[in-house]
Amino acid sequence: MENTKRPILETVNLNKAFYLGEAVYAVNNVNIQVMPGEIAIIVGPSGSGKSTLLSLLGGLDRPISGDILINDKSIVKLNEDELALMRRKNIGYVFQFFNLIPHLSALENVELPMSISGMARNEARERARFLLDEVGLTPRSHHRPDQLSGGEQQRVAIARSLANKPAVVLADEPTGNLDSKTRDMVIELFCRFNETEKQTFVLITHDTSLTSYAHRVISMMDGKIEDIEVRPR
Amino acid sequence: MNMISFVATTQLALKNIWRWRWRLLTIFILVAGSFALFVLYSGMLTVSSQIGVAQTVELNLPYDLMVMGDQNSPIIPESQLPTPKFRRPILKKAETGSSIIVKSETGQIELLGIEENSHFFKSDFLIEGNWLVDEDDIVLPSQMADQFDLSLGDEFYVYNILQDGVQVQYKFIISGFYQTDYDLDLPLIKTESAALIRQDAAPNRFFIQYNRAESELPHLVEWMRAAYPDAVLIYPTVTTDMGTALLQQIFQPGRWLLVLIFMFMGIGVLTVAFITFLERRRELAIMKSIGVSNGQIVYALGLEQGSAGLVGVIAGMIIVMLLGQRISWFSAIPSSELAKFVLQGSFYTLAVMIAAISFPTILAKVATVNQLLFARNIPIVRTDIDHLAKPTGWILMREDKENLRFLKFDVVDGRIEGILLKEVGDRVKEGEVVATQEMYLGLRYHEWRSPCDGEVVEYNRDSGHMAIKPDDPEAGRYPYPAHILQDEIRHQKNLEQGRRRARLENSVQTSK
Ligand SMILES: Nc1ncnc2c1ncn2[C@@H]1O[C@H](COP(=O)(O)OP(=O)(O)OP(=O)(O)O)[C@@H](O)[C@H]1O
Ligand SMILES: [Mg+2]
Repeated sequence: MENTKRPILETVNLNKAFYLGEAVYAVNNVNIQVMPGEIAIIVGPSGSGKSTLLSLLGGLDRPISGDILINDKSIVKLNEDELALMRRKNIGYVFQFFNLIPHLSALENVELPMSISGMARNEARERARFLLDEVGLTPRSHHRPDQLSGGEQQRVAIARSLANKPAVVLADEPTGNLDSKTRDMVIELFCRFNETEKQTFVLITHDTSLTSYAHRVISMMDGKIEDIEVRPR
Repeated sequence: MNMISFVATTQLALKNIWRWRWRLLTIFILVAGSFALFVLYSGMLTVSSQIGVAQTVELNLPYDLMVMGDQNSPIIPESQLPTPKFRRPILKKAETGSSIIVKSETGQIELLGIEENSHFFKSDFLIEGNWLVDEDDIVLPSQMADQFDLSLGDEFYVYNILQDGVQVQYKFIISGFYQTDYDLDLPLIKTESAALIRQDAAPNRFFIQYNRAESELPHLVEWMRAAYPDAVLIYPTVTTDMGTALLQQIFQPGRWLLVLIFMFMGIGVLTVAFITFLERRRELAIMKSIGVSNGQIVYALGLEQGSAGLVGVIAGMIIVMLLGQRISWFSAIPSSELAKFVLQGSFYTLAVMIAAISFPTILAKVATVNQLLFARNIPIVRTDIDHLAKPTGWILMREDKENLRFLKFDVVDGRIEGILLKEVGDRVKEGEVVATQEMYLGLRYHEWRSPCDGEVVEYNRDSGHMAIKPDDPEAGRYPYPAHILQDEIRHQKNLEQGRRRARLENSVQTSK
């Protein structure tokens, strides 16, 4: 049964290089698969290419070679517009830094993905309130990003990434700036949405305690996949 | 875009308008100023040309009518002209014997008197007019006619002493008078001009001066038009058209100023739009990452900057109206013209705004999220290359003989200006990127791709040539123009023959 399931995310010989005097492979021939409904975690030392890989998965950057499949559909040949629509439907993204639109309040930031994809205003507002509550930010709803702490901004971004109920949530160090209490809250939230909404999560983290929640742990080193550990549920 | 997302995008744009209000104010001022300047200046040009025309009409022409026939058309003898409704006036007969002598630069012209004596004009302009019906005909200033008591049909002589002492004498018959102030102290005719009159007169160009009431001019014109249907007739009231043409020429440089106005506006708007884009890259990245489509981005950016432009145009109109009340000549602009300038100004503003905003908008459209987020270069033009852009015979020969496929990167001092992804010994797949390169400040992006499955067997750092050996010896080849290779083969053959001949001669010599 498990074997017949197709991965929701897959990369084939994926490469991304930067020019730093010479070619530096930030992602070097990476082959990974993430099954639907999994919580996958990418770990690895700083500079090992985790963020680069994640942004390729989200179509935020273009590989120099190889393929990325989302639901068995290649995204490397899509143009920017098609990528945006693909993300709107399928992907919630949390950046490592700078996540929010500066002149919009926390609530408006969370609302935005829903309103631009055509959700009715009241419905969007209600869901945005609900999500902000989930990340414990109801009192901060009407604050602008510059009035929020780094961790609070990160949580608004998490709430926003869940807004359109995307099939896949890609989050780059979502708990990086959080204290242990809020971190647990966020992790609990991810686990719950993973359970109830059957959403797939791919998280980058330095936090080894997070690995205990993961179904799949992908270890990276110098742009290469060092190890993939699949855990029983 | 459905209605809800459309409204959401509009709301976002409106919030941005408020947020960037000072920036947009710059665009607003630029547009309002340029627009007002354009309309007022266009109006000024119109009014000033009207004023000019009014002045032209008042010009005191030295004749009633000038007939300018085609140089080559035959002249109609006066006997064949339609009969005029009025008679030629008869002027007083001159007394003979009076004469004056006038100096000129190259010699002297002596007026020998009336009937037997003479007279003429000072300016080249009039000489140029060729007021001669016959070779000997001449038109004189009426003031002179009064002074010397000359009348139409009188004859006089120009007696010219050249520097070498030779005397030349010309006879003229007075065929008309014109009205100007006339300075008797100046040379009346230049020697060379006098010669010109006699030799090269254009007989189908002449002045008519009947010295009659102005009301009779239309008849004169009618008369000459019937006589010379193809000729250009110039008389005081016709100069309106000529004056307009002339003044338009004078004010032509002013039209350039109008172009400049919009050019500066365009540069200003472009700068502001571009700086704003640079500052908002991160925000655009976030929008794209959450699925805001290109259409929504273009719409939002267009609405933001466009609204500043629109309000600018409206403000420009208000400025025009307010200033118009204070400017005396403003009311002289015909309202149809004014409407035209307003329309033109709006149209040019629109065109310039679109041109100026489209560059940052295109950048926002083609950029990836990461390019925006991390302020990286944004290539507008992307090209894939799997063959040589400029193949040389020598390289094609090697492709042919050794069954290789070549690529050539742009190298400077042995370094590729980009990322070299494959080295000698690496395996490559058909279509796999072997090198990437950014050019022109990152606006252009090249990807070199392998034309076949195979192995990189050679890379020349200095020339940038990479050779790939295909796995399949029969692998397809890029269809380079056949003559390049053939020329090279011929060239090599010639070389080889030359060498063989040299060798032969050498061996013959050594065997001797
Ligand atoms: N735009 C870029 N230009 C040049 N090099 C880059 C660029 N982005 C990333 N790199 C390089 O790619 C490598 C991987 O970077 P990446 O951000 O993916 O690492 P990471 O694993 O996310 O690190 P961290 O845990 O510190 O966030 C690094 O060596 C970095 O220097
Ligand atoms: Mg990172």
